[in-house]
Amino acid sequence: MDFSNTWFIIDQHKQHEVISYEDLIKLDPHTYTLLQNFKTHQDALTEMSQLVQQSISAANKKIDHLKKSN
Amino acid sequence: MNNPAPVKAGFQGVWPDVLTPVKSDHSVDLRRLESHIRTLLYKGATGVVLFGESGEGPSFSHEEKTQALAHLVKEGIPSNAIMLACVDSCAPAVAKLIHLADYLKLQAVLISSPFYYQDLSADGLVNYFDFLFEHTQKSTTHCYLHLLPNKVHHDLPEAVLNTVLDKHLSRIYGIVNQTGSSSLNQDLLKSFAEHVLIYSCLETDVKTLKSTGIISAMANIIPQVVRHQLGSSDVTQAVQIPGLKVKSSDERLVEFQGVLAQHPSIATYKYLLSQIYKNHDWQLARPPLSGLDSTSVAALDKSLAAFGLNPNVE
Repeated sequence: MDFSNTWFIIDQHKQHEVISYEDLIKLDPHTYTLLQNFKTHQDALTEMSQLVQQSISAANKKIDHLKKSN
Repeated sequence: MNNPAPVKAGFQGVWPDVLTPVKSDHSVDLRRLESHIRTLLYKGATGVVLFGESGEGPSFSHEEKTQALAHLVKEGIPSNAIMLACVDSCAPAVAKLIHLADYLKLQAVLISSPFYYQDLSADGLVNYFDFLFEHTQKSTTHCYLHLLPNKVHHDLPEAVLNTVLDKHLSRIYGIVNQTGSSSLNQDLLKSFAEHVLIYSCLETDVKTLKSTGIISAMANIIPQVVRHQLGSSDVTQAVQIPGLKVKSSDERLVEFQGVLAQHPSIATYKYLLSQIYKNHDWQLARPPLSGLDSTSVAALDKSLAAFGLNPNVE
């Protein structure tokens, strides 16, 4: 299957990033964790936005928990 | 068996028994399914099995399966990289799925024995397969007989397999043993290896069987390790995990089996995938299945920390 012109979500420096195949293959494989492949940039951004929302909601839960324990 | 025909070439490579992602309303999440399959193919899987044992096959309707397959093919997943598991007890429904696979030019269908709430006679089972093959005579899709755990599916006794193969050998490319029994592999090899290929879905059996292909649930999580195992006639082949000692693919698989053994399999695989993809929506399952409870999650997290799951190398 041809992956050129597809998009990836990777974890790099503890952050999620959307990156094209062309840019991915230029990276040192030890510097990132590959999460998922998507056909379009839009699909990758949709997933990325869900991941960020989930991180925000997890952080909010933590803050609430800390507030309660104070 | 009387048929002297040579063994047909069957599927090769790693074919993950793909987990089916669902949304919060329990409908199939097509976007996430497509992305999971793309990611597996990128990591070296040859193709995928849809709606099989790990894919919660019996939980999804014919319409949902059709919609998912049509979506995947339309979005560019090669149809010859898809096998469809036909898990049902209704012969006309299974025949319809075989027609669908034929229409979409899928790689193959896996035809399991029916599940039923009473013992089935050998004649009944043979008639079931006769019905399927007679009602799909024009189909050119490769068929594999799919043996599943007998707690849910009826066993296919050797005599039944023998009769079905004898009558329909031109359509059958192999027997896929997903019962979890290694000893059954030996029996199948002894009885049928001259006529069809025998595949085991137990990753640790691959070397003993000298398989060229495997349908693997573990490959949802660790596709590269399963691929190493399949390709490693050389025992020196190993997987390097940064910060951990070098382990052979055999050791990794046995260790991973140990992690999985203590928990319900599909919920566990879905939890693991949610960790790899960092998206907890992957933990959703369609009822009657449910996700892992918090005690199981805590225990699993502990085992995983020792295992060192690394999506880049797995």
